[in-house]
Amino acid sequence: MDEALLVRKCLEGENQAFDELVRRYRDRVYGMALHLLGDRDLAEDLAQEAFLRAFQRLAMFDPNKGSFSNWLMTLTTRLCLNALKKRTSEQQRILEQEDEAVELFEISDDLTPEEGWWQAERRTLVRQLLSTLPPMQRAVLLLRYGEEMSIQEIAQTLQVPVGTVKAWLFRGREALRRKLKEVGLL
Amino acid sequence: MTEECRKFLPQLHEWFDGCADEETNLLVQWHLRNCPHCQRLIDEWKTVADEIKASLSIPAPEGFEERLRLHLGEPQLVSWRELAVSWVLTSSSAALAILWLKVSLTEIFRSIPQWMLSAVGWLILPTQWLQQIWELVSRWA
Repeated sequence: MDEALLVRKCLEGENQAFDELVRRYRDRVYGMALHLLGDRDLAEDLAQEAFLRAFQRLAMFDPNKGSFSNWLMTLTTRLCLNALKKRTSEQQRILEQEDEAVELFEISDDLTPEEGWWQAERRTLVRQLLSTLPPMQRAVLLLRYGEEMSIQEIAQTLQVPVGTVKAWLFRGREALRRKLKEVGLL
Repeated sequence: MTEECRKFLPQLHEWFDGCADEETNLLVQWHLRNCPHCQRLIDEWKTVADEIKASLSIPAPEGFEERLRLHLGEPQLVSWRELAVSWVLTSSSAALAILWLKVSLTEIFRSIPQWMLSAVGWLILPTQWLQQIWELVSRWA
């Protein structure tokens, strides 16, 4: 079902429509929160908060201004960046120590166990390398390549000038390329 | 990496992000045709982009939806219509409260002795003078 139709049904009071929206976007919202915050409990809290706010403000969503997924991811990113600002450096240090390599990703059914293991390892490694970048560079890379947002949309989401987004994207991409090369993924 | 490639790097980034103008597009395409190093760089950026895309979605913890449903509880949707109704109700009740207070204040003032009101008046007077001076200065400015 089309997401605009789902939103309309949700506004008419159909709870199943909201359930469907949650099912569709929960992994992306949770993934974005985990990438930006680096802590699973906090990421789940933030993902829940993002859906709660989306539900409360659904009437303010205008399909003519962009897709629901962009609107939801904008909301999630802003919530995460606000949470990051509040976090103290001591909390950050503890989280970095606790950030162990755990299989977080679903393994595709089409792959052999070895291929599946390698795919999960690769994604975990990418997540860890991404987490070493500054938060704003990380956010820009995730919104650009994960969510396929335009530079202008990212600038609106992060409330910064377009030139700043371009600079973060330039530096983030280059830094991640070098890191991937160092670990032999390129 | 040649000196020419180094000069081209900012344009390559612009081109890769789809923000380059027509002239830059042509220049980059021409350079890429003759430069295996930059072709490899573009391929690596594509891989970086693909890796990020593949790693974005992470399965939410089990019971995520149940916990969300608990948080949601009663329907909390706020529509524009509801907002408008609440605004009208709030403003009309505020207006009624002001009207009621006006009547009550008049009655209260009537019951206060004249000497007390004069004393308060003398206290207020310097403030009024200041206000008048301020208005004069504002008009002059």
